[in-house]
Amino acid sequence: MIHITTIPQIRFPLKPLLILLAAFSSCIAWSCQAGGFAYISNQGNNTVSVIDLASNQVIASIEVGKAPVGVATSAALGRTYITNVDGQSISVIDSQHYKVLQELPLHGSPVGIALSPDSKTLFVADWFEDKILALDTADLTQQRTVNVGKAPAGIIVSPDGKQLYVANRDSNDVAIIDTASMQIVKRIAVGEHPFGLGLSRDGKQLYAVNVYSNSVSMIDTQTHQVNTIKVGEHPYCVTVSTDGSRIYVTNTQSDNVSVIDVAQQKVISIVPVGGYPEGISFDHANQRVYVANWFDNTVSVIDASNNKLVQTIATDKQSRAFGQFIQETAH
Amino acid sequence: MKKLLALIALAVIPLTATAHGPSPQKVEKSVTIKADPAKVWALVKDFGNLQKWHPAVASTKLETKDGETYRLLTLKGGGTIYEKLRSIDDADMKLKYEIVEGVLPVADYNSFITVKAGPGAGESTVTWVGRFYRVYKLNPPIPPGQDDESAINAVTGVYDAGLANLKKVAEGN
Repeated sequence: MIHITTIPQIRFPLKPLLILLAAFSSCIAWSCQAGGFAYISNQGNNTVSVIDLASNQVIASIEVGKAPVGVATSAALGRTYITNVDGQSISVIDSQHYKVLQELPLHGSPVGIALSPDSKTLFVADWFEDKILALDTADLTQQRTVNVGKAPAGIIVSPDGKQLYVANRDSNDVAIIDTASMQIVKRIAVGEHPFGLGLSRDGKQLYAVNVYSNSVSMIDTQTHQVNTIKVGEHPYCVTVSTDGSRIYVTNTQSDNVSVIDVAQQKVISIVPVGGYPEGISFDHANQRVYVANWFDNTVSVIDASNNKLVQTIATDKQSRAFGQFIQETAH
Repeated sequence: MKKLLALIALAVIPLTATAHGPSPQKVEKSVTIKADPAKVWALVKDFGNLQKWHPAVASTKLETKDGETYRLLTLKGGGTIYEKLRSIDDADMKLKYEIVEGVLPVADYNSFITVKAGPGAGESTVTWVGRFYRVYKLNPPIPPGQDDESAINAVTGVYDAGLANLKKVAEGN
Protein backbone atom coordinates (compact mmCIF):
# COMPACT_ATOMS: atom_id res chain seq x y z
CA MET A 1 0.00 0.00 0.00
CA ILE A 2 1.42 3.35 -1.05
CA HIS A 3 0.75 6.37 1.06
CA ILE A 4 0.28 9.65 -0.68
CA THR A 5 2.75 11.21 1.72
CA THR A 6 5.57 9.04 0.43
CA ILE A 7 5.44 10.57 -3.03
CA PRO A 8 7.23 13.82 -2.21
CA GLN A 9 9.92 11.75 -0.54
CA ILE A 10 10.45 9.78 -3.72
CA ARG A 11 10.21 12.81 -6.01
CA PHE A 12 12.80 14.75 -4.12
CA PRO A 13 15.87 12.58 -4.75
CA LEU A 14 14.66 12.00 -8.31
CA LYS A 15 15.12 15.62 -9.33
CA PRO A 16 18.94 15.73 -9.45
CA LEU A 17 18.92 12.34 -11.14
CA LEU A 18 16.60 13.63 -13.88
CA ILE A 19 18.77 16.67 -14.44
CA LEU A 20 21.79 14.43 -14.74
CA LEU A 21 19.98 12.14 -17.17
CA ALA A 22 18.82 15.07 -19.28
CA ALA A 23 22.35 16.46 -19.49
CA PHE A 24 23.70 13.04 -20.33
CA SER A 25 21.20 12.34 -23.10
CA SER A 26 21.67 15.74 -24.74
CA CYS A 27 25.41 15.08 -24.66
CA ILE A 28 24.88 11.84 -26.52
CA ALA A 29 22.58 13.51 -28.98
CA TRP A 30 25.13 16.22 -29.61
CA SER A 31 28.10 13.93 -30.13
CA CYS A 32 26.20 11.49 -32.33
CA GLN A 33 24.54 14.09 -34.53
CA ALA A 34 27.05 16.92 -34.74
CA GLY A 35 25.80 19.46 -37.23
CA GLY A 36 22.34 18.04 -37.55
CA PHE A 37 20.51 17.43 -40.80
CA ALA A 38 19.87 19.07 -44.14
CA TYR A 39 16.40 18.85 -45.68
CA ILE A 40 16.63 19.17 -49.46
CA SER A 41 13.46 19.70 -51.48
CA ASN A 42 13.53 17.98 -54.88
CA GLN A 43 11.12 19.66 -57.26
CA GLY A 44 11.41 17.05 -60.04
CA ASN A 45 10.17 14.01 -58.18
CA ASN A 46 8.34 15.56 -55.22
CA THR A 47 10.62 14.36 -52.46
CA VAL A 48 12.76 15.69 -49.63
CA SER A 49 16.23 14.18 -49.17
CA VAL A 50 17.49 14.14 -45.59
CA ILE A 51 21.28 14.46 -45.31
CA ASP A 52 23.00 13.55 -42.05
CA LEU A 53 25.63 16.26 -41.77
CA ALA A 54 27.92 14.09 -39.63
CA SER A 55 28.34 11.56 -42.44
CA ASN A 56 27.12 13.59 -45.44
CA GLN A 57 24.93 10.64 -46.38
CA VAL A 58 21.34 10.79 -47.54
CA ILE A 59 19.58 8.85 -44.79
CA ALA A 60 15.98 9.27 -45.93
CA SER A 61 13.89 10.29 -48.91
CA ILE A 62 10.43 11.54 -48.02
CA GLU A 63 7.55 11.93 -50.46
CA VAL A 64 5.89 15.32 -50.19
CA GLY A 65 3.47 17.40 -52.30
CA LYS A 66 3.89 18.58 -55.90
CA ALA A 67 6.96 20.69 -56.76
CA PRO A 68 8.44 21.21 -53.30
CA VAL A 69 10.60 24.32 -52.98
CA GLY A 70 10.79 26.06 -49.58
CA VAL A 71 12.16 24.54 -46.39
CA ALA A 72 11.89 25.60 -42.74
CA THR A 73 12.99 23.32 -39.94
CA SER A 74 12.93 23.30 -36.14
CA ALA A 75 14.88 20.99 -33.85
CA ALA A 76 12.79 22.22 -30.92
CA LEU A 77 9.58 21.06 -32.58
CA GLY A 78 11.11 18.07 -34.33
CA ARG A 79 9.39 19.32 -37.48
CA THR A 80 10.33 20.33 -40.99
CA TYR A 81 7.90 22.31 -43.13
CA ILE A 82 8.00 22.17 -46.93
CA THR A 83 6.14 24.44 -49.36
CA ASN A 84 4.74 22.56 -52.35
CA VAL A 85 4.16 25.33 -54.83
CA ASP A 86 2.34 23.35 -57.51
CA GLY A 87 0.61 21.19 -54.90
CA GLN A 88 -0.60 24.39 -53.21
CA SER A 89 0.16 22.92 -49.80
CA ILE A 90 2.61 22.58 -46.95
CA SER A 91 4.00 19.18 -45.98
CA VAL A 92 4.68 18.80 -42.27
CA ILE A 93 7.48 16.31 -41.64
CA ASP A 94 8.20 14.59 -38.35
CA SER A 95 11.96 15.03 -38.44
CA GLN A 96 12.59 12.28 -35.92
CA HIS A 97 10.87 9.62 -37.97
CA TYR A 98 11.20 11.15 -41.46
CA LYS A 99 7.48 10.85 -41.99
CA VAL A 100 4.93 13.29 -43.35
CA LEU A 101 2.40 13.99 -40.64
CA GLN A 102 0.16 16.24 -42.67
CA GLU A 103 -0.21 17.95 -46.03
CA LEU A 104 -1.92 21.22 -45.28
CA PRO A 105 -3.76 22.63 -48.31
CA LEU A 106 -3.46 26.37 -48.95
CA HIS A 107 -5.46 28.54 -51.26
CA GLY A 108 -2.47 30.07 -53.06
CA SER A 109 1.01 29.02 -54.20
CA PRO A 110 3.48 28.90 -51.30
CA VAL A 111 7.18 29.42 -52.01
CA GLY A 112 9.20 31.11 -49.24
CA ILE A 113 8.87 29.74 -45.71
CA ALA A 114 10.48 30.60 -42.37
CA LEU A 115 10.01 29.93 -38.67
CA SER A 116 10.15 32.41 -35.82
CA PRO A 117 13.16 31.77 -33.52
CA ASP A 118 10.83 30.41 -30.82
CA SER A 119 9.29 28.05 -33.44
CA LYS A 120 5.80 29.25 -32.50
CA THR A 121 5.01 30.91 -35.82
CA LEU A 122 5.46 29.62 -39.35
CA PHE A 123 5.56 32.30 -42.03
CA VAL A 124 4.70 31.42 -45.63
CA ALA A 125 5.00 33.63 -48.72
CA ASP A 126 2.29 33.26 -51.31
CA TRP A 127 3.86 33.87 -54.72
CA PHE A 128 0.76 34.75 -56.71
CA GLU A 129 -1.54 36.21 -54.11
CA ASP A 130 1.08 38.68 -52.88
CA LYS A 131 0.60 37.97 -49.22
CA ILE A 132 2.29 36.49 -46.20
CA LEU A 133 0.60 33.96 -43.95
CA ALA A 134 1.52 33.53 -40.30
CA LEU A 135 0.52 30.10 -39.00
CA ASP A 136 0.50 29.02 -35.39
CA THR A 137 2.70 25.88 -35.31
CA ALA A 138 0.63 24.52 -32.42
CA ASP A 139 -2.52 24.80 -34.55
CA LEU A 140 -1.88 25.37 -38.23
CA THR A 141 -5.49 26.35 -38.84
CA GLN A 142 -4.80 29.55 -36.87
CA GLN A 143 -3.64 31.88 -39.62
CA ARG A 144 -3.04 35.61 -39.91
CA THR A 145 -2.20 37.36 -43.19
CA VAL A 146 -0.68 40.57 -44.51
CA ASN A 147 -0.61 41.79 -48.10
CA VAL A 148 2.87 42.67 -49.30
CA GLY A 149 4.55 43.56 -52.61
CA LYS A 150 4.42 41.57 -55.82
CA ALA A 151 5.63 37.96 -55.88
CA PRO A 152 7.00 37.65 -52.34
CA ALA A 153 9.87 35.17 -52.42
CA GLY A 154 12.50 34.80 -49.68
CA ILE A 155 11.45 35.50 -46.09
CA ILE A 156 13.41 35.52 -42.84
CA VAL A 157 12.66 36.44 -39.21
CA SER A 158 14.81 38.68 -36.98
CA PRO A 159 16.53 36.92 -34.02
CA ASP A 160 14.16 38.61 -31.54
CA GLY A 161 11.19 37.41 -33.59
CA LYS A 162 9.73 40.90 -33.85
CA GLN A 163 10.33 41.52 -37.53
CA LEU A 164 9.82 39.53 -40.68
CA TYR A 165 11.76 40.49 -43.80
CA VAL A 166 10.20 39.76 -47.18
CA ALA A 167 11.86 39.97 -50.61
CA ASN A 168 9.18 41.25 -52.97
CA ARG A 169 10.59 39.95 -56.22
CA ASP A 170 8.49 41.91 -58.65
CA SER A 171 8.39 45.10 -56.57
CA ASN A 172 12.19 45.24 -56.24
CA ASP A 173 12.07 45.88 -52.52
CA VAL A 174 12.29 44.27 -49.12
CA ALA A 175 9.35 44.72 -46.77
CA ILE A 176 9.75 44.78 -43.00
CA ILE A 177 6.71 43.40 -41.24
CA ASP A 178 5.95 43.77 -37.56
CA THR A 179 5.12 40.19 -36.58
CA ALA A 180 2.90 41.17 -33.64
CA SER A 181 0.56 43.40 -35.66
CA MET A 182 1.26 41.81 -39.08
CA GLN A 183 1.64 45.28 -40.57
CA ILE A 184 4.26 46.52 -43.01
CA VAL A 185 6.46 49.02 -41.17
CA LYS A 186 8.87 49.82 -43.99
CA ARG A 187 9.79 48.96 -47.55
CA ILE A 188 13.42 49.23 -48.63
CA ALA A 189 14.32 49.50 -52.32
CA VAL A 190 16.90 46.96 -53.44
CA GLY A 191 18.07 45.68 -56.86
CA GLU A 192 16.03 44.04 -59.60
CA HIS A 193 14.16 40.85 -58.66
CA PRO A 194 15.22 40.16 -55.09
CA PHE A 195 14.75 36.45 -54.40
CA GLY A 196 16.72 34.92 -51.51
CA LEU A 197 17.33 36.61 -48.15
CA GLY A 198 20.02 36.06 -45.53
CA LEU A 199 20.48 37.52 -42.07
CA SER A 200 23.51 37.64 -39.77
CA ARG A 201 23.01 35.77 -36.50
CA ASP A 202 23.02 39.04 -34.55
CA GLY A 203 20.30 40.35 -36.87
CA LYS A 204 22.28 43.46 -37.82
CA GLN A 205 22.92 42.72 -41.48
CA LEU A 206 20.28 41.64 -43.93
CA TYR A 207 21.15 40.44 -47.44
CA ALA A 208 18.87 40.36 -50.48
CA VAL A 209 19.95 38.62 -53.68
CA ASN A 210 18.97 40.52 -56.84
CA VAL A 211 18.47 38.00 -59.64
CA TYR A 212 18.32 40.43 -62.57
CA SER A 213 20.93 42.87 -61.24
CA ASN A 214 23.48 40.10 -60.58
CA SER A 215 24.08 41.62 -57.16
CA VAL A 216 23.48 41.41 -53.43
CA SER A 217 22.02 44.28 -51.42
CA MET A 218 23.57 44.53 -47.94
CA ILE A 219 21.06 46.21 -45.67
CA ASP A 220 21.89 47.60 -42.24
CA THR A 221 18.81 46.63 -40.23
CA GLN A 222 19.22 49.60 -37.85
CA THR A 223 19.82 52.43 -40.32
CA HIS A 224 18.32 50.71 -43.41
CA GLN A 225 21.29 51.90 -45.42
CA VAL A 226 21.89 49.72 -48.48
CA ASN A 227 25.21 48.81 -50.11
CA THR A 228 25.39 46.72 -53.25
CA ILE A 229 27.94 44.10 -54.30
CA LYS A 230 28.18 42.50 -57.74
CA VAL A 231 28.15 38.71 -57.88
CA GLY A 232 27.81 36.10 -60.67
CA GLU A 233 25.05 35.51 -63.21
CA HIS A 234 21.43 35.17 -62.12
CA PRO A 235 22.12 34.81 -58.39
CA TYR A 236 19.41 33.28 -56.21
CA CYS A 237 20.21 32.69 -52.57
CA VAL A 238 22.56 33.70 -49.77
CA THR A 239 23.75 32.36 -46.44
CA VAL A 240 25.83 34.00 -43.69
CA SER A 241 28.80 32.57 -41.76
CA THR A 242 28.63 32.06 -37.99
CA ASP A 243 30.41 35.30 -37.11
CA GLY A 244 28.77 37.23 -39.94
CA SER A 245 32.07 38.11 -41.60
CA ARG A 246 31.29 36.28 -44.84
CA ILE A 247 28.33 35.60 -47.06
CA TYR A 248 27.94 32.94 -49.74
CA VAL A 249 25.78 33.50 -52.83
CA THR A 250 24.59 30.94 -55.39
CA ASN A 251 24.94 32.07 -59.01
CA THR A 252 22.45 29.93 -60.90
CA GLN A 253 23.76 30.71 -64.36
CA SER A 254 27.48 30.65 -63.53
CA ASP A 255 27.30 27.32 -61.67
CA ASN A 256 29.29 28.67 -58.73
CA VAL A 257 29.16 30.33 -55.33
CA SER A 258 30.53 33.82 -54.66
CA VAL A 259 32.18 34.17 -51.26
CA ILE A 260 32.04 37.77 -50.04
CA ASP A 261 34.01 39.37 -47.25
CA VAL A 262 31.45 41.61 -45.57
CA ALA A 263 33.88 44.15 -44.07
CA GLN A 264 35.73 44.61 -47.36
CA GLN A 265 32.48 44.38 -49.34
CA LYS A 266 34.12 42.34 -52.04
CA VAL A 267 34.14 38.87 -53.55
CA ILE A 268 37.15 37.01 -52.16
CA SER A 269 36.54 33.60 -53.72
CA ILE A 270 34.44 31.89 -56.37
CA VAL A 271 33.73 28.22 -55.73
CA PRO A 272 32.57 26.05 -58.66
CA VAL A 273 29.62 23.84 -57.63
CA GLY A 274 26.98 21.87 -59.57
CA GLY A 275 24.67 23.12 -62.31
CA TYR A 276 22.12 25.85 -61.50
CA PRO A 277 22.83 26.10 -57.76
CA GLU A 278 19.82 27.44 -55.83
CA GLY A 279 19.38 26.97 -52.07
CA ILE A 280 22.35 27.50 -49.74
CA SER A 281 22.71 27.11 -45.96
CA PHE A 282 25.53 27.37 -43.44
CA ASP A 283 26.27 24.45 -41.12
CA HIS A 284 27.48 26.27 -38.01
CA ALA A 285 28.52 23.10 -36.14
CA ASN A 286 30.89 21.91 -38.84
CA GLN A 287 31.66 25.20 -40.60
CA ARG A 288 30.50 23.99 -43.96
CA VAL A 289 28.25 25.40 -46.65
CA TYR A 290 25.61 23.23 -48.34
CA VAL A 291 24.38 24.09 -51.83
CA ALA A 292 21.46 22.47 -53.68
CA ASN A 293 22.18 22.07 -57.41
CA TRP A 294 18.93 22.11 -59.38
CA PHE A 295 20.39 20.91 -62.64
CA ASP A 296 22.73 18.20 -61.34
CA ASN A 297 20.37 16.69 -58.73
CA THR A 298 23.09 17.03 -56.11
CA VAL A 299 24.20 18.97 -53.05
CA SER A 300 27.69 20.51 -52.98
CA VAL A 301 29.55 20.78 -49.67
CA ILE A 302 32.03 23.64 -49.26
CA ASP A 303 34.59 23.81 -46.44
CA ALA A 304 34.18 27.33 -45.07
CA SER A 305 37.74 27.41 -43.72
CA ASN A 306 39.30 27.35 -47.18
CA ASN A 307 36.33 27.78 -49.56
CA LYS A 308 37.02 24.47 -51.29
CA LEU A 309 34.43 22.07 -52.59
CA VAL A 310 34.88 18.99 -50.42
CA GLN A 311 32.00 16.73 -51.40
CA THR A 312 29.11 16.26 -53.80
CA ILE A 313 26.11 14.34 -52.54
CA ALA A 314 23.58 12.79 -54.93
CA THR A 315 20.03 13.79 -53.95
CA ASP A 316 16.91 13.59 -56.13
CA LYS A 317 15.58 15.38 -59.18
CA GLN A 318 15.91 19.17 -59.36
CA SER A 319 17.03 19.99 -55.83
CA ARG A 320 16.05 23.50 -54.72
CA ALA A 321 16.14 23.76 -50.91
CA PHE A 322 14.92 27.35 -50.73
CA GLY A 323 15.30 28.71 -47.20
CA GLN A 324 17.18 27.75 -44.08
CA PHE A 325 17.22 24.02 -44.68
CA ILE A 326 19.69 22.89 -41.99
CA GLN A 327 18.27 21.65 -38.70
CA GLU A 328 20.87 22.10 -36.01
CA THR A 329 20.74 19.52 -33.28
CA ALA A 330 19.27 20.88 -30.05
CA HIS A 331 21.74 20.79 -27.21
CA MET B 1 9.17 18.86 -88.57
CA LYS B 2 5.39 19.06 -88.84
CA LYS B 3 5.09 17.85 -85.29
CA LEU B 4 7.67 20.36 -84.16
CA LEU B 5 5.94 23.26 -85.80
CA ALA B 6 2.69 22.17 -84.24
CA LEU B 7 4.34 22.30 -80.84
CA ILE B 8 5.29 25.90 -81.37
CA ALA B 9 2.31 28.05 -80.60
CA LEU B 10 1.36 30.52 -83.29
CA ALA B 11 0.48 33.46 -81.12
CA VAL B 12 3.40 35.63 -80.12
CA ILE B 13 3.82 35.48 -76.37
CA PRO B 14 5.90 38.38 -75.13
CA LEU B 15 8.35 37.55 -72.38
CA THR B 16 8.53 40.42 -70.01
CA ALA B 17 10.45 40.91 -66.81
CA THR B 18 7.46 40.14 -64.63
CA ALA B 19 6.46 37.14 -62.57
CA HIS B 20 6.80 33.72 -64.05
CA GLY B 21 5.61 30.40 -62.69
CA PRO B 22 7.36 29.32 -59.53
CA SER B 23 8.69 25.96 -60.77
CA PRO B 24 11.45 26.02 -63.38
CA GLN B 25 11.35 23.28 -65.98
CA LYS B 26 14.28 21.52 -67.55
CA VAL B 27 15.07 19.87 -70.86
CA GLU B 28 18.43 18.27 -71.59
CA LYS B 29 19.17 16.53 -74.88
CA SER B 30 22.38 15.09 -76.29
CA VAL B 31 23.58 13.70 -79.58
CA THR B 32 26.79 11.96 -80.62
CA ILE B 33 28.16 13.21 -83.93
CA LYS B 34 30.80 11.50 -86.02
CA ALA B 35 32.70 14.69 -86.70
CA ASP B 36 35.57 16.59 -85.20
CA PRO B 37 34.58 18.76 -82.18
CA ALA B 38 36.14 21.86 -83.78
CA LYS B 39 33.95 21.43 -86.84
CA VAL B 40 30.80 20.92 -84.78
CA TRP B 41 31.62 23.85 -82.51
CA ALA B 42 32.10 26.11 -85.54
CA LEU B 43 28.48 25.38 -86.52
CA VAL B 44 27.10 25.74 -82.99
CA LYS B 45 28.88 29.00 -82.15
CA ASP B 46 27.75 30.67 -85.37
CA PHE B 47 24.96 32.54 -83.57
CA GLY B 48 23.85 34.41 -86.70
CA ASN B 49 23.30 31.33 -88.85
CA LEU B 50 21.02 28.93 -87.02
CA GLN B 51 19.21 28.16 -90.29
CA LYS B 52 22.36 26.30 -91.37
CA TRP B 53 21.55 23.47 -89.01
CA HIS B 54 18.14 23.93 -87.39
CA PRO B 55 15.39 22.57 -89.68
CA ALA B 56 12.63 24.76 -88.21
CA VAL B 57 14.49 28.01 -88.90
CA ALA B 58 14.05 29.72 -92.27
CA SER B 59 16.37 32.64 -91.65
CA THR B 60 18.44 34.34 -88.95
CA LYS B 61 18.97 38.08 -88.68
CA LEU B 62 21.83 39.14 -86.44
CA GLU B 63 21.86 42.52 -84.73
CA THR B 64 23.77 44.41 -82.08
CA LYS B 65 22.12 46.71 -79.54
CA ASP B 66 23.94 48.51 -76.72
CA GLY B 67 26.90 46.20 -77.17
CA GLU B 68 24.76 43.07 -76.87
CA THR B 69 24.18 40.55 -79.66
CA TYR B 70 20.70 39.42 -80.65
CA ARG B 71 19.21 37.27 -83.38
CA LEU B 72 15.75 37.21 -84.88
CA LEU B 73 14.79 33.72 -86.00
CA THR B 74 12.09 33.46 -88.62
CA LEU B 75 10.53 30.03 -88.50
CA LYS B 76 9.45 27.95 -91.50
CA GLY B 77 6.05 27.46 -89.95
CA GLY B 78 5.59 31.18 -89.38
CA GLY B 79 6.36 33.29 -86.37
CA THR B 80 9.62 34.53 -84.96
CA ILE B 81 11.81 34.08 -81.91
CA TYR B 82 14.03 36.93 -80.68
CA GLU B 83 17.08 35.73 -78.76
CA LYS B 84 19.96 37.32 -76.90
CA LEU B 85 23.48 35.91 -76.93
CA ARG B 86 24.81 35.59 -73.38
CA SER B 87 28.30 34.25 -74.03
CA ILE B 88 30.49 32.22 -76.35
CA ASP B 89 33.24 30.31 -74.57
CA ASP B 90 35.70 28.79 -77.07
CA ALA B 91 37.79 27.08 -74.38
CA ASP B 92 34.81 25.16 -72.98
CA MET B 93 32.96 25.11 -76.33
CA LYS B 94 29.86 26.47 -74.61
CA LEU B 95 27.33 28.95 -75.99
CA LYS B 96 24.75 30.58 -73.72
CA TYR B 97 21.66 32.42 -74.92
CA GLU B 98 18.18 33.38 -73.80
CA ILE B 99 14.84 34.08 -75.42
CA VAL B 100 13.66 37.68 -75.28
CA GLU B 101 10.33 36.97 -76.92
CA GLY B 102 8.81 34.63 -79.43
CA VAL B 103 6.37 31.90 -80.34
CA LEU B 104 7.66 29.18 -78.02
CA PRO B 105 5.16 28.68 -75.18
CA VAL B 106 7.78 29.35 -72.50
CA ALA B 107 8.74 32.14 -70.10
CA ASP B 108 12.13 33.19 -68.73
CA TYR B 109 13.93 30.74 -70.99
CA ASN B 110 17.69 30.43 -70.77
CA SER B 111 19.83 27.84 -72.41
CA PHE B 112 23.30 26.61 -73.24
CA ILE B 113 24.80 24.29 -75.82
CA THR B 114 28.11 22.52 -75.23
CA VAL B 115 30.33 20.52 -77.56
CA LYS B 116 32.63 17.92 -76.02
CA ALA B 117 35.11 15.53 -77.61
CA GLY B 118 34.15 11.85 -77.62
CA PRO B 119 32.99 9.28 -76.77
CA GLY B 120 35.02 7.85 -79.71
CA ALA B 121 38.02 9.32 -81.50
CA GLY B 122 36.97 12.01 -83.96
CA GLU B 123 33.50 12.17 -82.40
CA SER B 124 31.64 14.95 -80.66
CA THR B 125 28.89 15.01 -78.08
CA VAL B 126 26.58 17.98 -78.25
CA THR B 127 24.35 18.74 -75.26
CA TRP B 128 21.56 21.30 -75.36
CA VAL B 129 20.10 22.37 -72.04
CA GLY B 130 17.19 24.67 -71.27
CA ARG B 131 15.73 26.05 -68.08
CA PHE B 132 12.43 27.87 -68.39
CA TYR B 133 8.95 28.35 -66.97
CA ARG B 134 5.47 27.77 -68.28
CA VAL B 135 3.67 30.77 -69.79
CA TYR B 136 0.78 30.94 -67.35
CA LYS B 137 1.70 32.98 -64.35
CA LEU B 138 -1.19 32.52 -61.96
CA ASN B 139 -2.82 29.90 -59.81
CA PRO B 140 -4.58 26.91 -61.41
CA PRO B 141 -6.63 26.27 -63.45
CA ILE B 142 -3.96 26.66 -66.11
CA PRO B 143 -5.24 27.32 -69.64
CA PRO B 144 -4.38 24.65 -72.21
CA GLY B 145 -1.15 25.33 -74.06
CA GLN B 146 0.27 27.46 -71.26
CA ASP B 147 1.12 24.69 -68.79
CA ASP B 148 4.41 23.01 -67.87
CA GLU B 149 3.81 20.13 -70.26
CA SER B 150 3.28 22.40 -73.28
CA ALA B 151 6.48 24.26 -72.49
CA ILE B 152 8.50 21.05 -72.05
CA ASN B 153 7.07 19.49 -75.23
CA ALA B 154 7.87 22.54 -77.33
CA VAL B 155 11.45 22.84 -76.09
CA THR B 156 11.99 19.08 -76.44
CA GLY B 157 10.75 19.30 -80.03
CA VAL B 158 13.13 22.16 -80.83
CA TYR B 159 16.12 20.35 -79.33
CA ASP B 160 15.40 16.93 -80.86
CA ALA B 161 14.87 18.29 -84.36
CA GLY B 162 17.86 20.63 -84.07
CA LEU B 163 20.32 18.08 -82.78
CA ALA B 164 19.25 15.43 -85.30
CA ASN B 165 19.83 17.85 -88.16
CA LEU B 166 23.05 19.22 -86.68
CA LYS B 167 24.33 15.66 -86.78
CA LYS B 168 23.31 15.35 -90.43
CA VAL B 169 24.91 18.63 -91.42
CA ALA B 170 28.13 18.04 -89.48
CA GLU B 171 28.53 14.51 -90.78
CA GLY B 172 27.70 15.65 -94.30
CA ASN B 173 31.23 15.69 -95.66
